Parts: sequence; structure tokens; C-alpha cells
Amino acid sequence: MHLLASRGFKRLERALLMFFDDIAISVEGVSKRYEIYSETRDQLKQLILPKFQRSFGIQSKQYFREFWALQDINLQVYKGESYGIVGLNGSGKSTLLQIITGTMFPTIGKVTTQGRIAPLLELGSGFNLNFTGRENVYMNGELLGFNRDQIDSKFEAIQSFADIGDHIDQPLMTYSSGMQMRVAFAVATAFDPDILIIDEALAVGDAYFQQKCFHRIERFKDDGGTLLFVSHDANAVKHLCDKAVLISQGKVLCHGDPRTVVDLYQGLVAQKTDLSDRSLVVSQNQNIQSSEPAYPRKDKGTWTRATTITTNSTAELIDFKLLDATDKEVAHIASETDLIVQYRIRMHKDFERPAFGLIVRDRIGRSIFETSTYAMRMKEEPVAMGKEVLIRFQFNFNLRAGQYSFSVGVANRGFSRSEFEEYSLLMHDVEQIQVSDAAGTEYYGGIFNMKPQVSTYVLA
Amino acid sequence: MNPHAPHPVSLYSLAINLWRRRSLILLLTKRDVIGRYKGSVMGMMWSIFNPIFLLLIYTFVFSVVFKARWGNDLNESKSQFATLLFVGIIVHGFFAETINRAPWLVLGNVSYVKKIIFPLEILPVVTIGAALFHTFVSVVVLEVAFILLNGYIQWTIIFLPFVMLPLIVLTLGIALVLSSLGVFIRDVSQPISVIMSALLFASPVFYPLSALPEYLRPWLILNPLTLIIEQARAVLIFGQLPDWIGLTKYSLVGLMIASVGFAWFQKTRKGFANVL
Repeated sequence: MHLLASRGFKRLERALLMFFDDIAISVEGVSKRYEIYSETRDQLKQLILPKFQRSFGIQSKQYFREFWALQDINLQVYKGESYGIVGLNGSGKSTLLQIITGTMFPTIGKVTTQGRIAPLLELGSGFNLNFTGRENVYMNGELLGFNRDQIDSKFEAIQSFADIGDHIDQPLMTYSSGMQMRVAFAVATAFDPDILIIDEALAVGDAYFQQKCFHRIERFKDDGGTLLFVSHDANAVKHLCDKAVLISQGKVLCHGDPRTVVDLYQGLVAQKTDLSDRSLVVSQNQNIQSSEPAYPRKDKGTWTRATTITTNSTAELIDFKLLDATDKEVAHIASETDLIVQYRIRMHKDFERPAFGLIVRDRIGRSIFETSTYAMRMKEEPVAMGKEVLIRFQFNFNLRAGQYSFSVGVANRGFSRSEFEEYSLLMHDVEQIQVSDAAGTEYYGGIFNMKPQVSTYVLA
Repeated sequence: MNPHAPHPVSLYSLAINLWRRRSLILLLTKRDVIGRYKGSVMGMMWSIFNPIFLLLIYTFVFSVVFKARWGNDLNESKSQFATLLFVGIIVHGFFAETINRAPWLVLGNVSYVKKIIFPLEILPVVTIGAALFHTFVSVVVLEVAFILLNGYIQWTIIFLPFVMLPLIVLTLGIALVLSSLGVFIRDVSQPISVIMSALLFASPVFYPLSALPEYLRPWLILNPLTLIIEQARAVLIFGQLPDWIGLTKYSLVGLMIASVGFAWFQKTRKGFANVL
């Protein structure tokens, strides 16, 4: 009864919101089926035969194998909101974006959008390689529904943002992928769209241009634009998005706070990259909407406080402590004083070359510093099953005032710079610390105090 | 513009859409014409040379080699035959060029389907525009030859657009169907090119309609090119007024086919992204 009432209320609420034009993108129960034909001939049969057979009352045969790329996706993106979409390759992200953009149609369900959409789906999409950059700008402007005068008035801005010089009058096939990206991004953002859809496209630009794009996106957000952002860059999603959704095998696995969603996503990535025969399990705390870690529950001497736990049950966190220089437990420290992070791991199998890691993250979950005993090239010694290991990281915690959290990890058999054949345990946000400004130090901006040697000379 | 709204199927909405997209159509048509000669040394000059060479070859083959005669008029010159022939070649050329390319239009522009919201219905229009450009150049070449041979020009040439318009409408309808069909059935383009070659001989290109036996003529009228070629010859060469009644009937049929073609295209376009 209560459930029914709340559903009815939800529906009313949604109707009201639509009425007040508050929702930019609404995806309701969208499923997408791809029909996979083993032979082209079957495609023709499917096109013609079922209709005939039905009209003669014969049971029609299906000539394809079906593949559900999306299953019952629901998503509400409010105006002015930035929504991140993460997921492994082949999870259905691109199909969802195509359906929202309107280039593909859902098999079941409905999509409504409010406002003009500027999609930046894939490199070179909508561009004609034989046309010059200038002609492509005009063509894209026309496609977005602008006339020549309107494009003329924007052209200067587009050209200066793309910043590719004389190449603008060369055919696009002579462009590097970075140059194409520059033009595409400049065009997509130039015409003040209501909804900007970006699909991993930023990855091709150089660091300088990426920064420029991020600034442009931030300005777009400040102006009240709605952003739909697909990226594998965890920090970018956390930084740009207000909400995020994780799609896995065509279904929404979780949505809400970007930090939680991205952590879960990275757990899935670890599952994929893990080479050991034990399967990794990713779990998250119930109160997923909150970035606060849940209350610690200590059962059987195991540390369970964390926002996301990825483990194959071969290692287990027993204890975690934040200590000051005198080995006293602390919950807040002044910046630029020594901090010791100490934790205890119990091994449930023999580890040939175990590595122990630590991640320091900021308030929204962006990684500030990550390291591991393997990355630091420390001596690796095997640890037998059943043993416990105590790990201590000691450093001068010279971060700016604010709240930081710690994640710990255990892995086995490292290779290359910092990759492992087996990921045993990764626990996000097991503990947090409040850092206050160091007494008596000068003010600085950014993330940490680099303590520069500064000298100034007045030149004659 | 809401990309999630259903696609309108009426011919009126097509006309509105084409008008709204006119500058895009113009831009794409220009690129289509220029793009064909891209990289060649003489560039756009080929669009003029091609019809000239064609005219010369037909003149030689049919007048000198075959010693063909158009009618029973014994005073007819060799070059006269070539101009009569060329009119048919031009009309057939317009139709064949558009129809041959139609199955590839959507198939060859996958990114227009899958990556952006593109008014796909303008693709056949762009192809028609490019074909019309070549038709125009050919007509100019024809008229220059006509003036050189006869010393005058038939004033009835001003009716040529009225003769071509019904064919353009009909061609658009067929091109819309074929461009959609080509996506689902890739074999379409093969028989089309054979049919287009056959049509060159099944139309009164190399002979006047009157040269056919009486019982065959009604059948040839079913060929969409017959009336148009005969009418184009009337206004360009013979200085006769067009057959308004015939053209009106033809236009009505053309409009019918165009509206069926457009409706078909709009109904099937949702499926394009699934099979490309």
C-alpha cells in the first residue's frame, strides 16, 4: 500500500517536473535489442516473411539471434545537471548515448529531451573528410539548425578556439586526430547548446587542449547547460559531474554520487584485469548516496568500514590506524606535520610477491597520491597463508586544509610500472582525516605545499 | 527540433523540410559536383568536355558508321541526327545517374545515420541537384552545337524546365525508395545498373517513338522516360509547344510516386541504424 502510494507520488512528481520544464533528458524503461543475422539472406526473410505468415495465421519463425544491448534503463537528468556515464567497453554506453541523441531508436521505452542537443559522439562523426575545416564548420552549423549569418557570426570564435591556423582551409583528411577533435569540440560548444553530450572524445586531445576543453565545459555548466559525459577518466567524471551512473551489460548497476559510482566502476575494471583464478567481488555500502563512510562494524576482527570493497577473499584488512609522530591515534592533524598510516592485513593464501598500497583521496574522491610497496621498488618477500602483515606509511602530510580519505590495497605479483597479476583487496575510504592549516605558514593555493625557494630581484 | 518526434510522412512536410535545408542542400550539391573532379588536372572543365566528346562520338558512330536516319526527311543532315540523339542521351543520363547512385546514398554515409542527426531525406535531392548540373552543362553544349549547325535557337527552349520538372519529381520518389531499400538489401544496386543500361535502348533515344510499330507504342509509354524525351526533343529541336495535358498527367503520377516513396523512406529510416 505504502509502495503503491509512493509510486503514484513519484509519477505525479515527474509529471509536475516535466510541466515546469525541469528535466532535460528523460529515459524511461529503455531497452534496445540488436538483431544479429548469421546471413544477409535471413535479414531479408525477417523483413518480409513474418508479416505474410501472420496474415495467414501461421506462427512466424525468428531469423535472428537477439542481443539486448540495453535493458530497462531509467534516467532523469535535470536541467543544469552534469551526469557522468561510466562502464566497461561493450556495456551499452554508446548505444544509450545514440538513443538519447536520437540517431538510434529504442526497441522498448521512451526518451524525451528538452532543448537543443550538441552531440560529440565519436571522432570525425558528422564530418566529411573531403571537405575543408571551414566547410565542415558550416555544414555542422547548418545541421544544428543555424543559417549562414548565424554561423558567420560564430566562425571567428570557433576558429580561435580550435586554433589550428591555416589548416582550417585544408581538407579534413589531412588533419591529425587531435586537430579533428579541436574543430569538432569548437563547433559543438560554439552554438550554446542546451545539452552537451560528450563520448570519450576528449581523450585524443593533447593535455593543453584538454584543459581548454575542461574550462569550456565548466563555463557551459556555469551558464546552466546540461552535460552528459562518458569517460574512462575517473578523476574527470568526479570533477565534472554532479551525478553518475554505472552501466554494466546493458543494465544500470548503480547511480548516484560520482565518487561511489566511479569507485564501483574501477572495481569492475580490476575484476576484468585480474589474472588470478579466484573471482573478484565488488561490494558497496548500503548508503550509497552519501560520501560518508558507514559506521565501522567489527565482526570477527575484520575491518569492514569502507565505501567500496573489491576483493577475491585472499586478503583481509584487520585493522587501520592513523597515527601522529608519537604513535598516538589522530582524527585530525595540522598540515605539514608527520602522519603515519598503519594497517594490518591477514593473508588467506600464500603470496609469492605481495604488494601493499595506499591511496590518499580528496573530498570528492579524486586521487591525490597513490603508491605501493611494489611501485616504490621495495624488496618483495613471500608471505605464507594465515600470516598477518603490518604496513606503515609515514610521510609529511603537507596537503591543504580539508578532508582526505585513505584507501588501502593488496595485490600479488607486480609487473610493468604498477600493475599486478592478481588483485586481492582494494578498500576505498577506510578512514578519513581532517587537515587544518599549519600554524604560522603562509597561504598557498592548489593541493599541497611545494615549499618553493623564492627570490625576487628588481631589475634596473 | 526534437529528434525523438516521429518523422512526418506527408509530401508537404518534405517540401517544407527541403526549403528549410536549402543552404545545406546547395552546399552539399556544390561539393558533390566539385568533388567528382577533385585532383584531376583540368578539374571542372571535364564536365564540359565529357558531353562534347559524347556528342562527337555519337555523331560519328550513328551518322558515319551506321548511316542512320531519324525520319523520312531526306534533307536531314548528319549532325541533325546527333543533336536529336543527344537530347535523349541527356534525359536518360539524368535519370540513370540519379537512380544508379540512389542505393548507395544512405549506405555510403553511415556516420550521417549513426553519429549525428542528419536530414537523410536531402541526400537524394543532393544527388538530383548534382545530376541536374551535368544536365544543364550538356544542354548548353547541345544548344551551342545547334546554333552552329542551324544559325538559330528554338525559343521553345524556355519550356524545358516544365518538361524536366515532372521527371525530377518522379525520380525523387524512386530514389527515396531505392536509397532506403539499398540499406536493407545490398543487392539492389546490381539489377538497377543493368536496368538503367537496358532503359537506354528501351526509350526512344536512338529512334523516335513514331518509328515503332503501332502495337508497341502504348507499352513504351509506360517507360517513364518516353514522354519526357519526346517532349524535350519537341521544345529543344523541333520548336513545338509541350504537350501540357500529357505532362500534367505525368506530374500527377510523379507526385503519387514521390509521396509513396517519401512515406516509405520515413517509415523505414528508423531501422537504418540497426543494420548499418
